[in-house]
Amino acid sequence: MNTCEKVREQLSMLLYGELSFDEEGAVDTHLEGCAECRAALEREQELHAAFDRVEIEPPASVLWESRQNLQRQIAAEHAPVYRVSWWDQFLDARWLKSAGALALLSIGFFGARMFPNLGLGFTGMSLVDPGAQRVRSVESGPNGGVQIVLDETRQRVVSGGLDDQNIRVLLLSAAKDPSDPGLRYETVGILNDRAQATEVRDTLIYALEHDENAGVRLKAMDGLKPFVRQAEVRKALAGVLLSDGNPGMRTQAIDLLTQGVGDSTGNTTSNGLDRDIIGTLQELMNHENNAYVRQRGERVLQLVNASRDTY
Amino acid sequence: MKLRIANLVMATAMVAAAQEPPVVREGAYWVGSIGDSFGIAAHARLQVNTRGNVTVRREAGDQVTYRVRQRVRAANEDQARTLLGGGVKQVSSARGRVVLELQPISAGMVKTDIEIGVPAQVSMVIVQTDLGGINVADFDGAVQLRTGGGDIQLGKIGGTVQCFSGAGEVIIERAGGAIDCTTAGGNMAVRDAGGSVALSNQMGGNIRVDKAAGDVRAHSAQGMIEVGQAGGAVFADTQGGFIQVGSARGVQAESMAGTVRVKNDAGPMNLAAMAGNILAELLNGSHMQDSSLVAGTGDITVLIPSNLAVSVMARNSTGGTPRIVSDFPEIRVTPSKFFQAPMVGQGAINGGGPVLNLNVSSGVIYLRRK
Repeated sequence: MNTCEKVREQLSMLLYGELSFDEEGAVDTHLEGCAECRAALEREQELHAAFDRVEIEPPASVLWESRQNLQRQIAAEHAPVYRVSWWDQFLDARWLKSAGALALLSIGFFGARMFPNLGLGFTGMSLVDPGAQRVRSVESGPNGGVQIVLDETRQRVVSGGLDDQNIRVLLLSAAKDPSDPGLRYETVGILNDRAQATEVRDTLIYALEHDENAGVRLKAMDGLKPFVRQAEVRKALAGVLLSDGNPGMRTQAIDLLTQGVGDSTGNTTSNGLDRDIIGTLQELMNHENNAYVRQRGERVLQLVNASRDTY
Repeated sequence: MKLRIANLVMATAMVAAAQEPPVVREGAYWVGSIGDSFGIAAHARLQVNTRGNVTVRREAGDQVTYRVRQRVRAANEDQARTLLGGGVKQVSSARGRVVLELQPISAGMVKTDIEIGVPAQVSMVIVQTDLGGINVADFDGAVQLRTGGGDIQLGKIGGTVQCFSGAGEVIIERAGGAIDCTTAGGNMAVRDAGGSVALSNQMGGNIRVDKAAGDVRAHSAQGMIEVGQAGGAVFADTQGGFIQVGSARGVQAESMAGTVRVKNDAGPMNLAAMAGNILAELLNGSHMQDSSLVAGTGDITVLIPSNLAVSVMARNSTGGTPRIVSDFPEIRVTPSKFFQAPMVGQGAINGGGPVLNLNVSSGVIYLRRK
C-alpha cells in the first residue's frame, strides 16, 4: 500500500478527529505535498457536509409498515424458511443487544436526572429507592432483553424479644459491625443482659478482646463481670491485662481477676487464684508501665505467696 | 519578702515521724493502724498528700481526723513491721491551707487505706495520692483530687470538683459547682452538676452526663458521649463512638466514626460526623441560631417543628444520584446537572430565619416535619 492510499483511508478518521497526534501530523505532512490527496480530502469533506445537511425523519408508521410487509412476505412463502430473515438477523445482531442495553440504561439514567419528580407513582425505575441501590452488572439476555443485577439496601424493622433466635442472630451480628462503634456499644449493652447464654458470652468476649473502641470494650467487660469465674472469661481478661493499651481497661481487668483475693477475712489463699492468672500477673510485672496496675499486681502476688518474677 | 518567708516558715508543724504503730493480727494478715486529729480554722483548705486509697467523709465538730490502716501478709510480727515500715505524718499550715502529709514507706504489697474526717467548716479538700482510689461520699465544699491511678468516686459535693486519675473510672453523683475531670482511661459519669462540666478521657472510655446546669465539654479518645440535659452549650468530640445530646442550648459535636444525635433548645448547632449519620431535632419554641451540619459518609436528618421559622441551605455532593428529601414545599430542590454534583435544596420555612446549613458528601438529606 503506497502512502497516498494509506492517507486516503485515514481521511474519514481525520475528519472525525479520531487520529492520534502522530498520525494526524503524518497525514498533514503528506497533504501539503500531494495535490491529489488534498482533492480527496475536499471530496470527503463535501460528503460529510452533505450527510450533515440531510436530516431523515422517519415517519412514525415506518415500523408498523415494515412489519406488515414482513408478515406479507412470510405468508407468501409457503415453504419453510430455513434462511434467517434480515429482521431476525437484525434482531440477533450482537451490536443491537449492546446498544439496546445501553439505550435502556441511558433512558433510565438521564430520565431520572432530567425528570426526577414526574410523579408517576413510582420511584426512579419503578424499583426501590434509587439512593439505596446500585447496578452490579448488565448483560444481554435472549431476544434483545437485558439482565441487570442490582445491589439493594432496604430498611426493614424487625421486632421481637431477646429470646427470639432471629433477633439474637441480628444482635450478635451487629455487635461485630465494623463500621459503627455506637451501634456495637448499644448492641453490647443489650446483650449484657443475656450473657448467661454461651453464644452471647462468646460475642462479648470477642468484643472485649478485639473491638478497636475502648468504650465498646468497657461495655463488654461490664457484661462479663458476673461470669468472671468462668475460664474463658478469665482468659480474655488476662489478655486484656497484658495487651490492652487502655490503662482503664487494665485497671478493671485486674480488679475482676483478683476479686476476693485479700478480702478482709484474709482467708483467701493462692487457691483462690489459678496458676494461669498468677503467671499472667508475673508476666505483667515485666512490662507494665502504669504504676497503679503494677502495684495492684505486686500486691496480689504477695498475697498469694507468689514471686514477682517468672522462672 | 521577709514577712512572706516568715509566713511560710511559721507554718504550724506537728511532726510525729517514726512513731511505731501497733501491729495486730487479723486472720491471715498483720494490720497496722494509726490515727489522730487536729483543729482547723474555719474556711481553711485541707490538703492531704499520701499514697494509698483515700476515703473522705464528713466529720462533726471542728477537728480533722485521720486514720491510716495498713495490712500485709507476713510470717510474724517482726516481718510485718518491716514490711509496713512506718512512715511520716506531718501537719503544716500556711496562708489558710493546712497540709497533712501521710507518706507510708511500706513495701508495695502493703494495702494502705486512709480515711479522713473533715468538718463542715473546711472550704476545700485537696487530695493527692500517688496510687489508689479516692472516695468522697459527702462534702459541702470544693474538692481537688489527683491520683496516679485508681477510681474516683464522689457522692454529694457542695462546691466545685477538679480531678485527675492516671487510670480508672470517674463517677460523680452530684456537684454544686463546676466539674473539671480527666482520666487517662476509663468510664466517666456525672449524674447532676450545678455548674459547667468538663470531662476528658485521654485514651478512651465512655462519658455520660445526665444533667448539668451549665456548659458541658466532653472529649473521649474512643468512646460514646451521652449528655442528657445541659443548661448551656455542649461541646463534644470523640474519635470513635456516638454522641447523643438530649437537650442543650447550642451544640458543637464531632465524631470521627459514629452517629451524632442531638436535640437542641437554642443557640447554634455545629455537628460533624465523618462516618455516621446525623439526626438533629429542633425543639418546639426553640431559639436556634445559624447552624451547620456536615456528614461525610452518612445521612443527615433534621426534624423541624411545623411552626419554626428557619432558612435551609442543603447541599448533597453524593456522586451518582444525590437526594434531598423534604416534607416542606418551601424547599426548592435543584437537581444536579449531568454528572455535576451537588444537588442543592434551599428555601425559607415559615418565612425564614436562622440559616441551617446542611452538607453531605455521601448520603441523603432528609428534612422532616415534626
